[in-house]
Amino acid sequence: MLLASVSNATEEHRFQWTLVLLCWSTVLVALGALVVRTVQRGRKLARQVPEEQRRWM
Amino acid sequence: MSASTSSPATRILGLASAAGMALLLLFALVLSPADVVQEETVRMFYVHIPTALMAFTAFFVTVGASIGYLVKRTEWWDVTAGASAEMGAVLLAATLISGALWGRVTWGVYWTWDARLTLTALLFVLVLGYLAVRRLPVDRDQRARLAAVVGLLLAPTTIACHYATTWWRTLHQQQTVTTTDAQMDGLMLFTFALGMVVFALIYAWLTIHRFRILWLEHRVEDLGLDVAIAERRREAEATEAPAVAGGLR
Repeated sequence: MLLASVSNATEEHRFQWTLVLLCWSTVLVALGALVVRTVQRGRKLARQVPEEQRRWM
Repeated sequence: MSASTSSPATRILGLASAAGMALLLLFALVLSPADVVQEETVRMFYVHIPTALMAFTAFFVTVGASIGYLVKRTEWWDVTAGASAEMGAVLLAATLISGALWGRVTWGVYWTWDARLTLTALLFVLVLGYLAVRRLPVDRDQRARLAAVVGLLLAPTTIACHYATTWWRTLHQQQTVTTTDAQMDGLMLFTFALGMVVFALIYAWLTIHRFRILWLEHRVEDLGLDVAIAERRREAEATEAPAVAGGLR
């Protein structure tokens, strides 16, 4: 009975960690994809516009 | 100098965001302890709450900038509203995903039609609608005016969403951290505060880049228009020249 309880606790622990890691990785992948997309789009657009219109440079 | 939307300030913000995120991961997943009640799942708290609060902040910036546009009618306000709404949409999507996973382990389901969750879904649909309005193929001023009016609708929805757990009986838990009572201490509170700082940095960093992208899109649109007008003029001149020559003969 004790063994079964320990096994269940380990399984629950593993399940919790799986969801925690899934949660963090989903958010990080989403943010990473946004960063990559933003950098690529920014470079593409900046090449099409004269330097004097890119006021932040 | 390379053509991009970067500047020294955004490079510093980007580096600070990346370093902060690495530190946050260390604290959230390794150093901070498991909760007595929620056990390991408390580690989702450090991403779920900061993304939600930063999404709400982003929407309030959009509302403020929309009011600014309706009063001043300048491109700066319109582009600020759009950039912040884009970031808010991404952060709210992250909130919905992290919330669904947390709900699965806490409530046993990914989704339930609870007041807080329903209002969050409504807010997400509303911001997608707002972003769709910003892509309408109409005159830029007309589009900006329409977007600003739709942007104002984010205010009541965001407020209702934030206070949903206070105003209605919900399955979603009440606020854990308030200004008067943190209900947390030590490393857990520090990790949460770090999460808030890191996601605020990410929001600021990416919103500046999104602002510059929208600004550049407008400039490309203007350049395209100039080229189209010049082409039309050349075409008109080319068709007029033989007619004039024929008239002289």
